[in-house]
Amino acid sequence: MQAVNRTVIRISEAYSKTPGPRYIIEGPFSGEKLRQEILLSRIVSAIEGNGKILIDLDGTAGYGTSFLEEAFGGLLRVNNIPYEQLEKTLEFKSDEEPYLIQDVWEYMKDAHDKKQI
Amino acid sequence: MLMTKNKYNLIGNIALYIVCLVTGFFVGKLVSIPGVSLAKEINPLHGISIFCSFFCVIFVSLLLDKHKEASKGQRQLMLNQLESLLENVEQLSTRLCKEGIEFVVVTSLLKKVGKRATNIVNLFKRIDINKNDFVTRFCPLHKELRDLMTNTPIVSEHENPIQFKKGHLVFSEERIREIEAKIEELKDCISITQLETVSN
Repeated sequence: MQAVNRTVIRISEAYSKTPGPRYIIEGPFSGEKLRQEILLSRIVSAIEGNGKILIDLDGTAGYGTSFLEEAFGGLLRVNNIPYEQLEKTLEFKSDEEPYLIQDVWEYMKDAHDKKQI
Repeated sequence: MLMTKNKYNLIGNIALYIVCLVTGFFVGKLVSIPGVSLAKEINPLHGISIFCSFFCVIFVSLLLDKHKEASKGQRQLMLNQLESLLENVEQLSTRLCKEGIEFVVVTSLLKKVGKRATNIVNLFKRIDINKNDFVTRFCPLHKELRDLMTNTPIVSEHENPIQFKKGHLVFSEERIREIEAKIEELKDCISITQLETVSN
Protein backbone atom coordinates (compact mmCIF):
# COMPACT_ATOMS: atom_id res chain seq x y z
CA MET A 1 0.00 0.00 0.00
CA GLN A 2 1.37 3.41 -1.01
CA ALA A 3 1.65 6.04 1.74
CA VAL A 4 -0.44 9.15 1.13
CA ASN A 5 1.61 12.33 0.79
CA ARG A 6 0.18 14.78 3.30
CA THR A 7 1.03 18.49 3.45
CA VAL A 8 0.13 20.72 6.38
CA ILE A 9 -0.62 24.39 5.84
CA ARG A 10 -0.80 26.43 9.05
CA ILE A 11 -2.45 29.69 8.09
CA SER A 12 -0.89 31.50 11.09
CA GLU A 13 2.64 30.49 10.00
CA ALA A 14 2.37 30.20 6.22
CA TYR A 15 0.29 33.33 5.71
CA SER A 16 -0.64 35.61 8.61
CA LYS A 17 -1.66 35.67 12.25
CA THR A 18 -4.14 38.43 11.38
CA PRO A 19 -6.13 37.32 8.33
CA GLY A 20 -7.77 40.24 6.57
CA PRO A 21 -10.72 41.03 4.31
CA ARG A 22 -12.13 39.24 1.25
CA TYR A 23 -10.38 40.97 -1.67
CA ILE A 24 -6.80 42.14 -2.25
CA ILE A 25 -7.99 45.69 -2.96
CA GLU A 26 -9.67 45.85 0.45
CA GLY A 27 -6.54 45.39 2.52
CA PRO A 28 -3.58 43.18 3.43
CA PHE A 29 -3.74 39.42 4.04
CA SER A 30 -6.97 38.93 2.15
CA GLY A 31 -8.70 35.64 1.46
CA GLU A 32 -8.23 36.19 -2.27
CA LYS A 33 -4.45 36.50 -1.84
CA LEU A 34 -4.26 33.38 0.32
CA ARG A 35 -6.08 31.42 -2.37
CA GLN A 36 -3.97 32.79 -5.22
CA GLU A 37 -0.54 32.66 -3.58
CA ILE A 38 -0.69 29.66 -1.28
CA LEU A 39 -3.71 27.42 -1.61
CA LEU A 40 -4.20 27.08 -5.35
CA SER A 41 -0.77 25.78 -6.38
CA ARG A 42 -0.52 23.38 -3.43
CA ILE A 43 -4.02 22.03 -3.90
CA VAL A 44 -3.50 21.48 -7.63
CA SER A 45 -0.21 19.62 -6.89
CA ALA A 46 -1.91 17.53 -4.21
CA ILE A 47 -4.77 16.61 -6.56
CA GLU A 48 -2.32 15.62 -9.30
CA GLY A 49 -0.23 13.53 -6.89
CA ASN A 50 -3.22 12.02 -5.06
CA GLY A 51 -1.99 13.70 -1.90
CA LYS A 52 -3.80 15.29 1.01
CA ILE A 53 -3.61 18.77 2.49
CA LEU A 54 -4.38 19.52 6.11
CA ILE A 55 -5.25 23.15 6.67
CA ASP A 56 -4.71 24.26 10.26
CA LEU A 57 -6.88 27.25 11.10
CA ASP A 58 -5.66 27.69 14.70
CA GLY A 59 -3.29 30.36 16.00
CA THR A 60 -4.68 33.45 14.29
CA ALA A 61 -6.43 36.49 15.77
CA GLY A 62 -9.66 35.36 14.12
CA TYR A 63 -11.22 35.01 10.69
CA GLY A 64 -13.84 37.04 8.93
CA THR A 65 -16.43 34.87 7.21
CA SER A 66 -15.72 36.78 3.98
CA PHE A 67 -12.04 35.78 4.18
CA LEU A 68 -12.87 32.08 4.50
CA GLU A 69 -15.60 32.24 1.86
CA GLU A 70 -13.27 33.87 -0.66
CA ALA A 71 -10.29 31.64 0.11
CA PHE A 72 -12.16 28.32 -0.07
CA GLY A 73 -15.42 29.05 -1.92
CA GLY A 74 -13.28 30.87 -4.49
CA LEU A 75 -11.43 27.63 -5.31
CA LEU A 76 -14.65 26.45 -6.98
CA ARG A 77 -16.15 29.78 -8.07
CA VAL A 78 -13.00 31.35 -9.53
CA ASN A 79 -10.54 28.51 -10.06
CA ASN A 80 -13.08 25.88 -11.11
CA ILE A 81 -11.68 23.08 -8.96
CA PRO A 82 -14.35 20.35 -8.70
CA TYR A 83 -15.94 19.95 -5.27
CA GLU A 84 -15.38 16.18 -5.34
CA GLN A 85 -11.62 16.71 -5.77
CA LEU A 86 -11.52 19.14 -2.86
CA GLU A 87 -13.49 16.70 -0.73
CA LYS A 88 -10.85 14.04 -1.40
CA THR A 89 -7.88 16.36 -0.93
CA LEU A 90 -8.67 18.79 1.87
CA GLU A 91 -8.82 18.26 5.61
CA PHE A 92 -9.22 20.97 8.22
CA LYS A 93 -8.16 21.43 11.81
CA SER A 94 -9.58 24.04 14.15
CA ASP A 95 -9.40 23.24 17.86
CA GLU A 96 -9.99 26.84 18.88
CA GLU A 97 -13.11 27.38 16.78
CA PRO A 98 -14.37 23.93 15.68
CA TYR A 99 -17.44 25.43 13.96
CA LEU A 100 -15.15 26.98 11.30
CA ILE A 101 -14.61 23.57 9.71
CA GLN A 102 -18.31 23.17 9.01
CA ASP A 103 -18.49 26.78 7.78
CA VAL A 104 -15.67 26.26 5.28
CA TRP A 105 -17.27 23.09 3.86
CA GLU A 106 -20.57 24.97 3.58
CA TYR A 107 -18.90 27.78 1.62
CA MET A 108 -17.42 25.25 -0.80
CA LYS A 109 -20.72 23.35 -1.10
CA ASP A 110 -22.62 26.60 -1.75
CA ALA A 111 -20.14 27.63 -4.44
CA HIS A 112 -20.47 24.16 -5.98
CA ASP A 113 -24.29 24.27 -5.89
CA LYS A 114 -24.35 27.74 -7.47
CA LYS A 115 -22.13 26.52 -10.29
CA GLN A 116 -24.59 23.70 -11.01
CA ILE A 117 -27.45 26.15 -11.58
CA MET B 1 -12.30 28.14 51.46
CA LEU B 2 -14.80 25.55 50.16
CA MET B 3 -12.99 22.81 52.11
CA THR B 4 -13.28 24.79 55.38
CA LYS B 5 -16.97 25.44 54.72
CA ASN B 6 -17.58 21.73 54.09
CA LYS B 7 -15.66 20.85 57.26
CA TYR B 8 -17.83 23.20 59.34
CA ASN B 9 -20.99 21.75 57.74
CA LEU B 10 -19.88 18.22 58.62
CA ILE B 11 -19.05 19.13 62.23
CA GLY B 12 -22.39 20.98 62.52
CA ASN B 13 -24.30 17.95 61.23
CA ILE B 14 -22.56 15.54 63.59
CA ALA B 15 -23.16 17.89 66.55
CA LEU B 16 -26.84 18.09 65.60
CA TYR B 17 -27.15 14.28 65.54
CA ILE B 18 -25.47 13.99 68.95
CA VAL B 19 -27.76 16.70 70.43
CA CYS B 20 -30.84 14.88 69.03
CA LEU B 21 -29.62 11.55 70.45
CA VAL B 22 -28.92 12.99 73.93
CA THR B 23 -32.25 14.88 73.94
CA GLY B 24 -34.07 11.69 72.94
CA PHE B 25 -32.34 9.80 75.78
CA PHE B 26 -33.35 12.35 78.43
CA VAL B 27 -36.90 12.74 77.07
CA GLY B 28 -37.21 8.96 77.32
CA LYS B 29 -36.12 9.17 80.97
CA LEU B 30 -38.54 11.99 81.81
CA VAL B 31 -41.69 10.94 80.02
CA SER B 32 -43.87 8.54 81.90
CA ILE B 33 -47.21 7.72 80.37
CA PRO B 34 -49.64 5.77 82.57
CA GLY B 35 -50.10 2.23 81.33
CA VAL B 36 -46.97 2.42 79.21
CA SER B 37 -43.85 0.86 80.59
CA LEU B 38 -40.43 0.74 79.03
CA ALA B 39 -38.45 -2.45 78.96
CA LYS B 40 -35.33 -2.18 81.09
CA GLU B 41 -33.39 -4.49 78.83
CA ILE B 42 -32.97 -4.23 75.14
CA ASN B 43 -32.68 -7.06 72.66
CA PRO B 44 -29.14 -6.85 71.20
CA LEU B 45 -30.52 -7.37 67.68
CA HIS B 46 -32.85 -4.39 68.11
CA GLY B 47 -29.93 -2.35 69.40
CA ILE B 48 -27.85 -3.21 66.36
CA SER B 49 -30.83 -2.37 64.14
CA ILE B 50 -31.18 1.07 65.81
CA PHE B 51 -27.47 1.82 65.33
CA CYS B 52 -27.58 0.68 61.69
CA SER B 53 -30.59 2.90 60.97
CA PHE B 54 -28.87 5.79 62.71
CA PHE B 55 -25.70 5.49 60.66
CA CYS B 56 -27.68 4.97 57.44
CA VAL B 57 -29.49 8.26 58.08
CA ILE B 58 -26.17 10.04 58.63
CA PHE B 59 -24.61 8.46 55.56
CA VAL B 60 -27.55 9.28 53.26
CA SER B 61 -27.79 12.87 54.46
CA LEU B 62 -24.03 13.40 53.99
CA LEU B 63 -24.23 11.90 50.51
CA LEU B 64 -27.13 14.16 49.56
CA ASP B 65 -25.28 17.18 50.96
CA LYS B 66 -22.19 16.34 48.92
CA HIS B 67 -24.23 15.94 45.74
CA LYS B 68 -26.04 19.21 46.40
CA GLU B 69 -22.75 21.06 46.95
CA ALA B 70 -21.23 19.63 43.76
CA SER B 71 -24.26 20.53 41.68
CA LYS B 72 -24.30 24.05 43.18
CA GLY B 73 -20.60 24.47 42.30
CA GLN B 74 -21.20 23.30 38.71
CA ARG B 75 -24.09 25.71 38.28
CA GLN B 76 -21.98 28.58 39.63
CA LEU B 77 -19.17 27.71 37.21
CA MET B 78 -21.60 27.76 34.28
CA LEU B 79 -23.08 31.06 35.43
CA ASN B 80 -19.59 32.59 35.60
CA GLN B 81 -18.82 31.37 32.08
CA LEU B 82 -22.13 32.73 30.77
CA GLU B 83 -21.44 36.07 32.48
CA SER B 84 -18.04 36.27 30.73
CA LEU B 85 -19.70 35.43 27.41
CA LEU B 86 -22.19 38.22 27.96
CA GLU B 87 -19.30 40.63 28.63
CA ASN B 88 -17.60 39.54 25.38
CA VAL B 89 -20.81 40.13 23.42
CA GLU B 90 -21.26 43.52 25.08
CA GLN B 91 -17.70 44.48 24.06
CA LEU B 92 -18.77 44.02 20.43
CA SER B 93 -21.72 46.27 21.02
CA THR B 94 -19.71 49.06 22.66
CA ARG B 95 -17.04 49.09 19.91
CA LEU B 96 -19.66 49.42 17.16
CA CYS B 97 -19.92 52.98 15.81
CA LYS B 98 -20.48 54.93 12.60
CA GLU B 99 -16.81 55.95 12.35
CA GLY B 100 -15.76 52.33 11.91
CA ILE B 101 -14.00 49.63 13.83
CA GLU B 102 -10.62 48.04 13.19
CA PHE B 103 -11.01 44.79 11.23
CA VAL B 104 -8.65 42.83 13.51
CA VAL B 105 -10.63 43.99 16.55
CA VAL B 106 -13.86 42.66 15.00
CA THR B 107 -12.43 39.26 14.10
CA SER B 108 -10.65 38.84 17.44
CA LEU B 109 -13.76 39.78 19.44
CA LEU B 110 -15.87 37.39 17.36
CA LYS B 111 -13.27 34.69 17.96
CA LYS B 112 -13.34 35.40 21.69
CA VAL B 113 -17.13 34.97 21.71
CA GLY B 114 -16.86 31.78 19.63
CA LYS B 115 -14.17 30.25 21.86
CA ARG B 116 -16.08 31.07 25.04
CA ALA B 117 -19.28 29.59 23.57
CA THR B 118 -17.41 26.43 22.54
CA ASN B 119 -16.05 26.15 26.07
CA ILE B 120 -19.56 26.53 27.51
CA VAL B 121 -20.93 23.85 25.17
CA ASN B 122 -18.16 21.48 26.29
CA LEU B 123 -18.86 22.20 29.97
CA PHE B 124 -22.60 21.65 29.47
CA LYS B 125 -21.78 18.30 27.87
CA ARG B 126 -19.66 17.29 30.88
CA ILE B 127 -22.26 18.20 33.50
CA ASP B 128 -25.16 17.15 31.30
CA ILE B 129 -27.32 20.24 31.78
CA ASN B 130 -29.01 22.25 29.09
CA LYS B 131 -26.45 21.35 26.38
CA ASN B 132 -28.73 21.04 23.36
CA ASP B 133 -30.75 24.18 24.04
CA PHE B 134 -27.64 26.38 24.17
CA VAL B 135 -26.12 24.86 21.03
CA THR B 136 -29.31 25.16 18.98
CA ARG B 137 -30.06 28.69 20.15
CA PHE B 138 -26.66 30.38 20.42
CA CYS B 139 -24.60 28.90 17.58
CA PRO B 140 -26.85 29.97 14.65
CA LEU B 141 -27.10 33.50 16.09
CA HIS B 142 -23.32 33.69 16.44
CA LYS B 143 -22.91 32.58 12.82
CA GLU B 144 -25.41 35.21 11.64
CA LEU B 145 -23.56 37.90 13.60
CA ARG B 146 -20.22 36.85 12.08
CA ASP B 147 -21.76 37.03 8.60
CA LEU B 148 -23.25 40.46 9.29
CA MET B 149 -20.02 41.89 10.71
CA THR B 150 -17.57 40.42 8.21
CA ASN B 151 -19.68 40.64 5.09
CA THR B 152 -20.91 37.31 3.85
CA PRO B 153 -22.47 36.49 1.39
CA ILE B 154 -20.95 38.47 -1.50
CA VAL B 155 -22.93 41.53 -2.55
CA SER B 156 -22.38 43.87 -5.48
CA GLU B 157 -20.04 46.77 -4.75
CA HIS B 158 -22.62 49.58 -5.05
CA GLU B 159 -24.92 48.03 -2.47
CA ASN B 160 -22.16 46.83 -0.15
CA PRO B 161 -23.14 47.66 3.45
CA ILE B 162 -19.53 47.42 4.63
CA GLN B 163 -16.61 49.50 3.35
CA PHE B 164 -12.94 48.89 4.11
CA LYS B 165 -11.05 52.06 4.92
CA LYS B 166 -7.42 51.80 6.07
CA GLY B 167 -7.90 48.53 7.91
CA HIS B 168 -11.21 49.66 9.40
CA LEU B 169 -14.69 48.33 8.71
CA VAL B 170 -17.22 51.08 8.18
CA PHE B 171 -20.80 49.84 8.39
CA SER B 172 -23.83 51.45 6.80
CA GLU B 173 -26.48 52.72 9.25
CA GLU B 174 -28.80 49.90 8.25
CA ARG B 175 -26.09 47.29 8.84
CA ILE B 176 -25.33 48.81 12.26
CA ARG B 177 -29.02 48.42 13.16
CA GLU B 178 -28.97 44.78 11.96
CA ILE B 179 -25.83 44.04 13.99
CA GLU B 180 -27.27 45.70 17.11
CA ALA B 181 -30.46 43.64 16.76
CA LYS B 182 -28.44 40.45 16.43
CA ILE B 183 -26.31 41.34 19.47
CA GLU B 184 -29.52 41.88 21.47
CA GLU B 185 -30.75 38.44 20.37
CA LEU B 186 -27.47 36.91 21.54
CA LYS B 187 -27.75 38.68 24.89
CA ASP B 188 -31.34 37.43 25.30
CA CYS B 189 -30.20 33.91 24.49
CA ILE B 190 -27.47 34.11 27.15
CA SER B 191 -29.94 35.48 29.73
CA ILE B 192 -32.38 32.63 29.04
CA THR B 193 -29.55 30.11 29.45
CA GLN B 194 -28.53 31.80 32.73
CA LEU B 195 -32.10 31.56 33.98
CA GLU B 196 -32.39 27.91 32.98
CA THR B 197 -29.06 27.12 34.65
CA VAL B 198 -30.16 28.74 37.92
CA SER B 199 -33.51 26.95 37.98
CA ASN B 200 -32.18 23.57 36.81
